[in-house]
Amino acid sequence: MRANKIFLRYYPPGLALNYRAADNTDRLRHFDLLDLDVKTNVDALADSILLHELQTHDSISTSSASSSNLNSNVLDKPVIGGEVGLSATVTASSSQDTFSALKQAINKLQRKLLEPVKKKFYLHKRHVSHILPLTNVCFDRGGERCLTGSYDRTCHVINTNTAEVEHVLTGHDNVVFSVGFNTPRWSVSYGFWNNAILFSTFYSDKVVTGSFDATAKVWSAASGQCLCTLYGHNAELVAAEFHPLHTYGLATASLDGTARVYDVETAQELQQLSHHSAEVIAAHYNRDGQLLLTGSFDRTAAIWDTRSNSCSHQLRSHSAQLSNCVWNFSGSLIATGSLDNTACIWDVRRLDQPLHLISTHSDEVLDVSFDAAGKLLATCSSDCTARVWQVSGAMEELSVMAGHCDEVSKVCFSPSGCMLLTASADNTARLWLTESGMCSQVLAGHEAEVFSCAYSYAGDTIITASKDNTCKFWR
Amino acid sequence: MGLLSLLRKLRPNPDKEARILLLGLDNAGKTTILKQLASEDITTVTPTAGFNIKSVAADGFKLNVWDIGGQWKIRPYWKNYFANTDVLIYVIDCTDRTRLSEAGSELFEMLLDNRLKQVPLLVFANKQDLPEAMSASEVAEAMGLVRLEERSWEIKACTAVDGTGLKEGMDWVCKNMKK
Repeated sequence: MRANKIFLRYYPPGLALNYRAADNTDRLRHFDLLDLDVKTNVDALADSILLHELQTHDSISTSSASSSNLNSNVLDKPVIGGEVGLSATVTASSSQDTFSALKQAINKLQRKLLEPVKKKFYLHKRHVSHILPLTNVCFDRGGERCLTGSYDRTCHVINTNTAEVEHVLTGHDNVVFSVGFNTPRWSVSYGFWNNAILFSTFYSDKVVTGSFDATAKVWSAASGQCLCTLYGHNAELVAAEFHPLHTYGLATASLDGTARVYDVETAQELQQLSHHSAEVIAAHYNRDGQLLLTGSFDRTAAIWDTRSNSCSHQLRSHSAQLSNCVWNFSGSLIATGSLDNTACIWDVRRLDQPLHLISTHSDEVLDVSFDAAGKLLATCSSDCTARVWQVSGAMEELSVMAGHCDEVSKVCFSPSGCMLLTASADNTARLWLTESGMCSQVLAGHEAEVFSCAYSYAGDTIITASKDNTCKFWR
Repeated sequence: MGLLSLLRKLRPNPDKEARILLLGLDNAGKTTILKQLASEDITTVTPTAGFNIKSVAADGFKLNVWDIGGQWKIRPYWKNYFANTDVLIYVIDCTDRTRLSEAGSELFEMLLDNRLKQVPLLVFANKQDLPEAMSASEVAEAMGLVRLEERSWEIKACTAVDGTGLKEGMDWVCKNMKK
């Protein structure tokens, strides 16, 4: 067994091996290492990947990976610079080399999981070109650009380094509420010449905005031009998300009580998902995009099979409106937060009742968020606290983040999961150590409540967006 | 409050909840009125570069009052907030004679919007404590409020800084609510 190249994905940890199989074909095999932590025995893991996983797969697989289009959800980073790729000329001791390179790769993934607990963030730039309050924000995968939605009906594409506006996306007739990039894609091809592997990097090239004007618009991230407008909803559109694998799919959620799926290429509505009896406020694809999870003010979440256009499950247990619902990375668990002061964790194999009920918040649960690997869940509440839960193995409360003096409306983990970021109506965002619940930092300076916050994928930049019409970059 | 509660306050609520829009030119006293209604301190009111929302209980109703900034450059965005409005309150600075016609034209232009069709209108003639203030009837006449047809409307004199007249105005609001 000889690996030509190893690709790494830091968050959640995973890798892909490009190797020459026994039948002399080039293959690419992905491994999720979601359970990897600092205590993992690297030798044993490398061993099991090479000996068991790969060979078992080899014997059953018949497909030859002559070309493969890789998606970042599955694969994040070809290891360029600090490359762990192997020389293809080594033949005699090749399997030994593969083993040590694999260990090196896993070690690197392990180190990435330790970042960055001690790092302090400082105000890097302030972005002031919106003239009305901001809504949601997000980074692209590289952390070089971010999107800000605003009550001023625009979305700004901002260069994170300079805080300068690259594009102002204008065209919506009302508040831009939801913003998102499409999934970046890595294209890998195998050259015929010398079997060299060519990979080219693509960044997210499209942006979606969802507006209170009941439409979504798709924009070119490079030019800022509007590519299409997606009509159909008849009330405020509050969530919009690209399909994780193919960029022509897009799901939306609206206060009109429906979720819809669109084809971005043709701007046609493909599906109308209208099982909910009240406003739909969240819509998230699972990892492979075959299922769509929606959360509604009708107190339920629903899972839709986007292939058959049907509601396959409705998650009933909450006694008040849902505030959010999310998948974990692998799609095995779902978390729902509700204004009934509880959050629920659901096992997708058994959806008639929640796997676990979180009921220690004393007021409305306003947001729920899994860490990258899906081993931890964070909840935040009007009771001014955020809480972190261990969801692998025994469900238990790991830590309580107390310190905000007004409701905590958004919560997210750092990519490594070591830190928790919260946004609050007390005009601050705060950083907490996940394990202990200690406050590491107060990101203060906004003059009104912080509506949203986000971590860049590399974990080195934070954006906070506020009702005070500004957003701040912290590094 | 957070983005989620903004969504919640955006929708018509079947229960005894109403959405009140508080508009007017900059420096008319909208935020002061809002804070008075919510019994909050009014010593630190600054120009609103966005919006403020407070929930006020009155007559068994929960009034979600949206105070929208009135500066010239953000007036075009007033219509962001028109949907599902139950009562419109328009605040006039009665000492600002030079901008009364501007206040009037902004109001009449806004009332053309379909979403505000048949929404009851309350005009607060504010700042009555100041000596040069016009009276409510002067304001009504100057603005031509009588031109308003097929809409229930009322003008009330008030002084936001000490709360005079606000109660009477809100009583009218509760009685004339769209629902």
